[in-house]
Amino acid sequence: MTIQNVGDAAKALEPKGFEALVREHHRRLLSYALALTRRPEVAEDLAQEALLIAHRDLAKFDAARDFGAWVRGIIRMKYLEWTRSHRLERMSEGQIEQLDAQHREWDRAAEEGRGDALAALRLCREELGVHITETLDEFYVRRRSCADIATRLGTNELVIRKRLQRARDVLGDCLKKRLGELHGA
Amino acid sequence: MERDDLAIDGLLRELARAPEGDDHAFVARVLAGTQKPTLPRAPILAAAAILLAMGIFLALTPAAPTVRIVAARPSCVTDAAAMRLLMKDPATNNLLMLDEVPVGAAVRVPAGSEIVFQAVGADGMALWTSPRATKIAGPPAPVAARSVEFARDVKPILDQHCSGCHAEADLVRGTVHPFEARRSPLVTQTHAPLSGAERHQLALWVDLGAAGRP
Repeated sequence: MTIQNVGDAAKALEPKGFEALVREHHRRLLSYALALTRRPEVAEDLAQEALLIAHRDLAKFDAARDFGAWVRGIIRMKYLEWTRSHRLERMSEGQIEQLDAQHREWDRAAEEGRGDALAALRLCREELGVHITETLDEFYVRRRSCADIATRLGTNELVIRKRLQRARDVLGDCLKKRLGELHGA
Repeated sequence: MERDDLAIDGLLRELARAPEGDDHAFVARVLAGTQKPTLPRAPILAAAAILLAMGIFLALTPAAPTVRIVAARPSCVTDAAAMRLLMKDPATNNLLMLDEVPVGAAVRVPAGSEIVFQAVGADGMALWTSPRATKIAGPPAPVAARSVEFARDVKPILDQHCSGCHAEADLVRGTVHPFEARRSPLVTQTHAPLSGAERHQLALWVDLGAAGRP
């Protein structure tokens, strides 16, 4: 659901409205936080804090904007705070802007009924070959390092890095096709 | 990473984090945080102060039914390899195993439960047990804790390796110091050829208080 007018925004002020927004947006928000932090426990905390801030400040929400984009802005702010407080190297402004741009594209695809990015990615993932799937599982599901995966699969780290890069490229192309981005969305 | 790559990396991580679809537990935590009243602050701050005094640091998840704890090494223990998080069973008062994590790891524990910490050495036995339980205030959260029971987890080991020559009651009389496996001859001085897993099971039972011993 996208809030498109003041009436919808007023509904969103009700607990049930906010709950529906959380249910609809939480996974994309978590994936955004994961892209920034790459750590599930931190991403969950940032997304949760951002949603609680959104709930508190719902009255200030600009009804012309998309709820997901608004909360992503809060997550971005919390991410910068987190990197500052933990003295971590942060992603560049350019990278974050590119990430935002990709999520805006996925927002448009959802609004226009062209599909949900996560659901499409799940389907794209099923089309991958055995070797790439195995490497993706090792890296993303079992959270092993590239060096560990290389040792387990009897190859070197560079091969694993390239395989992961290739997998993301293939999935990116597949996602664009599934969401119709190649056809002038 | 390039533009698509970074965003797709996030989607892949999210698919791996919650492969079954919607994360109902996450949604529930968020919604719990929107309810009023939120967590009573005074008990939380009191619990945090006690833990801080023990050298354990809390990272509170706002108004959530679980609390993320950074399992730092207590200042009184210098050679801990891991931290064990235990909770008191409200029905029996026995200690249940919640998790064992490396020192410094972040781990979630359920609010509304009485939590006990143990610093664990490289040999898997407790070096230190927090002298009192700390109750993390908040709305009750689902708990996934396991018990270690004499009849189910310990007796079969004794039956297999010891009971041929020793009476069961003699085996545990004077040889078990609850919460102190490393001081318990049953664990450290047995001459039976126990496997590593069996010895660990005996040690864990003793470290959790050796409940149900004959």
